[in-house]
Amino acid sequence: MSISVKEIRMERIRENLFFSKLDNGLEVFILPKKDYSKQFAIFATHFGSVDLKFTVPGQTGTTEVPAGVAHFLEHKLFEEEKGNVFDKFSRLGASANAYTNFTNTAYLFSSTSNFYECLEVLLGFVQRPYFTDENVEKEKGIISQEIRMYDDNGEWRSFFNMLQGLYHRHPARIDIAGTVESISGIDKDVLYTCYNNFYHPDNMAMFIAGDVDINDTLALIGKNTPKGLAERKGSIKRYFPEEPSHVHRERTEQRLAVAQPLFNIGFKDSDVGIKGRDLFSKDIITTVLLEMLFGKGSDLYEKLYGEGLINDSFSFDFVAEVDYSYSILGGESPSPDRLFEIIKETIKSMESQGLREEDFRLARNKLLGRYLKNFDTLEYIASNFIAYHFKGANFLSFVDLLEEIDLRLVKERFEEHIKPCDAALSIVSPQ
Amino acid sequence: MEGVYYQHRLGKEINLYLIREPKFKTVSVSLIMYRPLDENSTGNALLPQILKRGCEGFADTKSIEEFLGRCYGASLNVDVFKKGDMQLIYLGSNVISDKYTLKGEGVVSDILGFLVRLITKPLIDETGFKKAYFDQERDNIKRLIDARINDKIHYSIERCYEETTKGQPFSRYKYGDAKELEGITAVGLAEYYKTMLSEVPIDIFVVGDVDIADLKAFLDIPPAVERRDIKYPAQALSPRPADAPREVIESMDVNQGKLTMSYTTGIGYSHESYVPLLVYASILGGGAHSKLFNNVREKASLAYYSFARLEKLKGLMVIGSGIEIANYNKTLEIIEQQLEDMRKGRISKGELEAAQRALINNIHSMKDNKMHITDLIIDRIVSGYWMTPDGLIDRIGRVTREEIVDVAGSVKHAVTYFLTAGEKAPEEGKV
Repeated sequence: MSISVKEIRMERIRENLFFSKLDNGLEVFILPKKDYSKQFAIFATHFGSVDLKFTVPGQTGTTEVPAGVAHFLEHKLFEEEKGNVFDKFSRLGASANAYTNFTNTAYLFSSTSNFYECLEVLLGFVQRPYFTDENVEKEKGIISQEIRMYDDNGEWRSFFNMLQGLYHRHPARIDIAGTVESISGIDKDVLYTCYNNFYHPDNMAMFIAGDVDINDTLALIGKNTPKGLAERKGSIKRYFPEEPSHVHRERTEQRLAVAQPLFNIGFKDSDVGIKGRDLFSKDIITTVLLEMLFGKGSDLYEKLYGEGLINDSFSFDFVAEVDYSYSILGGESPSPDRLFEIIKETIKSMESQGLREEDFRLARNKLLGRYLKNFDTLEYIASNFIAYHFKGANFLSFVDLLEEIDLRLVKERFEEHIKPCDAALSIVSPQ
Repeated sequence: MEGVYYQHRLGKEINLYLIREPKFKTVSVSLIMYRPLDENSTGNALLPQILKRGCEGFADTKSIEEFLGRCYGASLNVDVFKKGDMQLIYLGSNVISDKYTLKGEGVVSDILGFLVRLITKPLIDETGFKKAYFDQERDNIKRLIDARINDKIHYSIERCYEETTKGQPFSRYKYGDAKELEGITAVGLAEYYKTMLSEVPIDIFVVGDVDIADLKAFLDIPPAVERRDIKYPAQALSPRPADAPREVIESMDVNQGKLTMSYTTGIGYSHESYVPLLVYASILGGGAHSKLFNNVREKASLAYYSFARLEKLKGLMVIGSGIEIANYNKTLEIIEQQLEDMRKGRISKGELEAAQRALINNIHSMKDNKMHITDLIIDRIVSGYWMTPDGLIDRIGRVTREEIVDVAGSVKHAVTYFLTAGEKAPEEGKV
């Protein structure tokens, strides 16, 4: 059986991407990187911490699962009936890892030799769940320590307190690992239910970067994924509670052992339910806007830095998911409340006319430079590509989309999204 | 990485190293000044923060950002690093390669010129550094010093080493001491800087898709700076403590205890047993293949992380774990058992090989990371010792169990540091 491959050439960034979709629904992307020592592979499922209520394709009725289950499942897949997966990668001299975020779970390895053997191990363990009452119980101790570790992390706490400020009900407000209480309700049946639904090849994707042979790689993947299994009809239905457009709580403060207050400010985006190219375009427009408003060199940044209200730790980002999205600012500040007031006042009094063409061009240049930087690190390009892929967007279309946008779109976005009434402040302050 | 390598003398002990790697789309530029860790370390930490604010021709953040924006969002990063007994002052940038600019215009040479300008044409008048910048950055450094407690994992390692090397240069925090900050003035620091600039060794590292011809504009104009006797800071191994291991308990309002233990080895980077020590540390706690990971985490479920790490220039090692406070003694016992197994040579062939392969994989992988490439050359400069990556790989492959048992005998426990909650130690802890 031959596997059909499509090549996508990207002249501007001098990269070629190869794409193939197997009969079982698995989508595979290969980015050849000739001069790299390393090969990097990521095998991911479109299943993250927010997926707590769903319907399996072809079935009726909904399933609800405890918070933290995607992350728990990630931990458990590394365990096998005989031995553990890390040992196999160790024997091959590769390093393996995994991560769970809000919307996906990814398993990955990085190798400098034995690539095909490693790929076989990766495909093998992710498709071979082995959950027992005993090994599920054992993991609760480890994950509890992971949760406790994050409980002491001021930045992490500030971030989640902000999400809880923005969202009334959406599960993005719950910690990715869940809570010590919620994971106590996880057993092997829950794990198998989630596994069987979300780890079907039609809900998964694979991205490989490095100096690898396209045909050998695809043949090996074909051989190591189910053949009789067809892509399911329809897709997984994911249910999210109805989320009001206004923020849940404007201000949250928590005390922790930190030196000076840490803060996050979120702007809730009510323009949700968008996918694919439109979502990516919204993402880029908003990122340009944030750069113009809050980037170093903006009037606001200069004022805040000059008054000592922010320092080099200040950062901002736009998080564009299909079902929820928000802009986020964060850093350290001696007075987050005053900072929040100034930001709200500034955007209230500022009209979109204040957004200048020259600043727009500079911001666009900056984004181009930062985007290209992705390609120098295989891990970045792979994880970004996968994350956008599950949102229906092609991460490699960035440069084209960036060139299409103009200042008018940025101004519209400012009017629509950056509103004081949609903002929430989270502070983690010293005891 | 050992391939195209160009060294160019820009002035007395001012060297430019060009490592040409066409596979990268962006270029990493690092300017390093080498200082001893001494009573000036607080001032040294403050200097790059002030220098980054402006220079002749770029008086403020706005003009700098406009310039960086035109250079496709080149970054400007400054910091200080601790390398053994040295403090490295760093000013750097990541910029897209000239080969990816929209009109093929050169930006790398401009960035190099800009970084040199920041250090050679600072904004200094008879009252010293520009007052506003000095004051703001002194406040920022104060906050950075205070913020050391925010990251509990790093903090506990820092504190453990600080206790281990009391009274020695290495015990200094890389950002210095808040008390010393009070005695630093804008005029005093400017005077110190002028003297320092005339005697400090300076290196510039350029890694990326750059030809020496691309740098012509920069190389044609030597840095305008007065150079006198150049002083290279000294480097020494940490002395072996004469006393029995000490226990240090520190209280903070934390959810998770951080158990951190330090060891002296008497084996530094240039020692003939350095590579066996590297393999020793990897078997003990260098990742998912290690004894600590498997016994503390996987078998006993006591921690999410447990690792061992070398401080190669000092001949020190640290073990760290985040645990439930009540599990202090239990964890100590298991860690001690792993060290004992190392001493007794209870190391399987699989453990040895997994460690060797993991280390080799890491070394190969470094060739794909611009900062790692830079770091390897800096290590060579500060240690005065050069192992080629291939030489290192070859030596790792030849390390025997006997050699590991041999170095295990040199590993001497110095300090057990425990960051815990509440007033008292959890239980009577014995070391």
